[in-house]
Amino acid sequence: MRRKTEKKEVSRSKVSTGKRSPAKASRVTRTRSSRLPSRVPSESPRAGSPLQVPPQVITRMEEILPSDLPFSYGETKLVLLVRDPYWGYSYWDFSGETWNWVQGKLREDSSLKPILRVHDLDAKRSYDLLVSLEAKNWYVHLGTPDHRYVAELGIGDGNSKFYLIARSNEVRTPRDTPSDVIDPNWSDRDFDEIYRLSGGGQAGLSSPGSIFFPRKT
Amino acid sequence: MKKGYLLFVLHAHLPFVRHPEHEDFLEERWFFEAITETYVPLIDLFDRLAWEGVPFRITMSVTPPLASMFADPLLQERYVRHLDKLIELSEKEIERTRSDSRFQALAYHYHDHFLKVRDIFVNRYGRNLLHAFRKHLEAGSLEIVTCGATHGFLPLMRTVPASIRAQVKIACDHYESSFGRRPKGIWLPECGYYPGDDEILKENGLQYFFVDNHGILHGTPRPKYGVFAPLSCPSGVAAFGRDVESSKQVWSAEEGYPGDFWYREFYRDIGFDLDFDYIRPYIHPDGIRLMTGMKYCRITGRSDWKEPYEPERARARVEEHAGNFMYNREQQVEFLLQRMGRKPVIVAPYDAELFGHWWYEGPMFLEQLIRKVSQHSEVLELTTGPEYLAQNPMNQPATPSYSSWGWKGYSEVWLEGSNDWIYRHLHQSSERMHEMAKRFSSANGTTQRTLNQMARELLLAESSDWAFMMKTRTTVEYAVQRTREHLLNFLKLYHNLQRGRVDETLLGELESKNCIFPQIDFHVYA
Repeated sequence: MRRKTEKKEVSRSKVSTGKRSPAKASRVTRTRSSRLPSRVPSESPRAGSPLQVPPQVITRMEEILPSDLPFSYGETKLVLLVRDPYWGYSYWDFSGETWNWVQGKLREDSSLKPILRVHDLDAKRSYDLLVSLEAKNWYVHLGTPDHRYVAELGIGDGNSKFYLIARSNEVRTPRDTPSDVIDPNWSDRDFDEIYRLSGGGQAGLSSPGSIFFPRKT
Repeated sequence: MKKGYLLFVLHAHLPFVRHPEHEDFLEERWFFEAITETYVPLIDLFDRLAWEGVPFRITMSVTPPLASMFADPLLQERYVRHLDKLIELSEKEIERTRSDSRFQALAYHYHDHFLKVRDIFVNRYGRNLLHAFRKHLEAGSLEIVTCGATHGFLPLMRTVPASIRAQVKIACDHYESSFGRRPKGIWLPECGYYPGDDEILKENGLQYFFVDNHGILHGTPRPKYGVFAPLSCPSGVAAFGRDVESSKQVWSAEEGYPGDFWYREFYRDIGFDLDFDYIRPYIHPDGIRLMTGMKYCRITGRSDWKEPYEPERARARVEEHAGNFMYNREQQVEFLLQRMGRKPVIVAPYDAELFGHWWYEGPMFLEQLIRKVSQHSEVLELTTGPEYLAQNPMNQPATPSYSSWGWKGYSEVWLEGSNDWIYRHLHQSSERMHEMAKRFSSANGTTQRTLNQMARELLLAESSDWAFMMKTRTTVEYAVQRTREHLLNFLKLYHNLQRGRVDETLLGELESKNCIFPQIDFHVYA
């Protein structure tokens, strides 16, 4: 029971309570912009299906020494990163030329939508996600642990039409269960037991940054 | 004959925080506090054990940024100034608390501690704590492992393999300049491993590294001994896995020792509790209240009601906890030996700063544990990676799984809404660094200096600390500012290089400010 009358303060002044960050805490600062550049070079659009990714285009955006991080590096690309056994993160960028071509194509054919096509190379299946090109990044539910994936950014109508803008690097999601592969020279009569004794199934629960104190850095 | 091994690992790291442009920089205090509360107390206990002839084996990473800060004359001088202020504060506190002997005893306790830290820092080791770590490394008691050059989270660098190579190679070279030998092992930043990274470790002569528990358990083929024996990766480099049980006993808020009610309360500090005018000279010059390190309360209970700290009672709890930890490991080892038919190794890694900074009694716990295991245990033997591998050269060939020791076990801490924006810039800069290193492979003079500084800026931007701070909402502004600053510095240097111009003033300023890795050679990125 808390005995208010007996409470003694350590300090001689008003005591503030509650947990504090040891260093000066501050609010989140977001630096991500959500705009595309208002001016883009006006090269003629490329035709063809699928679109050949144009060679790297060095834009004029960075001619003067930069005072802020560039919104775009002026290269068309798609990068896929693995976050965990089920999720990936993709980001993309465009050359001015590609951007103009894509915008032209979208204006020309209203059935086309921006699509992130995810290929599960092991299951040999693909699926499309409707994305916003302007977002320039997207979290992707890849779906299956221990599978290889590649993503493609493009515009398509959900049926046969698909114009490729960029293809990503290949990634592999991690396992989230023990492997089925057994080395006969190193097999155990009861793997489930050794798995349990090893703390199996508790991944991340014991992570130091989150369980005890919030780490200072 | 002992029945199993205990491999105790302390991961000592801070990001490179050095701001010559300001007299008093808030974030430099992270380093100062860690010296007073963690690094010197650890060194002190290692010295004491060595002096008494108590054999011990502890593994510790001293990351390149931390080692660079230890060796930096500016930070050394600033630390002494900082400590002198603390000593002055503790003198005032002795006076202020004279009417209450419980608090006055604590003021004396801190005063004595600060004086002792000063003596160890200044007189025993000439202001450079690397000398202390090196001494115990050479004695064979302390196994120092390296880390990524700036603690870059390797699994999210895979798109530019040269950047992973650079993190590892530069770290190994820096280790050699700090400790006079090549490292044998590495603590991968955040324990982040992606299959294949071991090849890069092999290229650098490393023999072993650590992964989180599921890195081993989800390895392929499945691991016969679970986490209680290392795996031998395709490269031949060994991977040791973290034991969950021993981790929880120390880390966990519910089950962990540091939450004991007799232990010192971290969050009650006179920097926040005392009258503003009184404490003002000892907090930030801008009047920002901050932790001084003088804390008078014990945890007491779950409410805000706090009793005065009683060091003797805390010491008694340390004895019990160290005994309990050893007992639990002994039970674990006895059972596992029977089950496995091979001596198990229990790998118990922690952030070094948990010991002393967060958990005040941590260094005392470690000392008690070492004494108990070395002198009384018939079951446990303290070991290090190289010693274990020398005694147990046959390990199961397998590839560990992608994993980290962060929340949820993969990359989510460093890749989520608050911090995902950094990767497009980091990757772009890495690609450019790679291209430039190839294009200017025979560079000399200012071109060479420019390329070397670009490498430093890129490395500093890659510290996983910044993404971590953005995620945990602590000092976010600083983390964002550091990321942007280094990326922008990189871009400016890159543009100058592209245009065949060198801005000597800018280059000189950056070299003097962001001076980590003076011996860096940009060719590592080629």
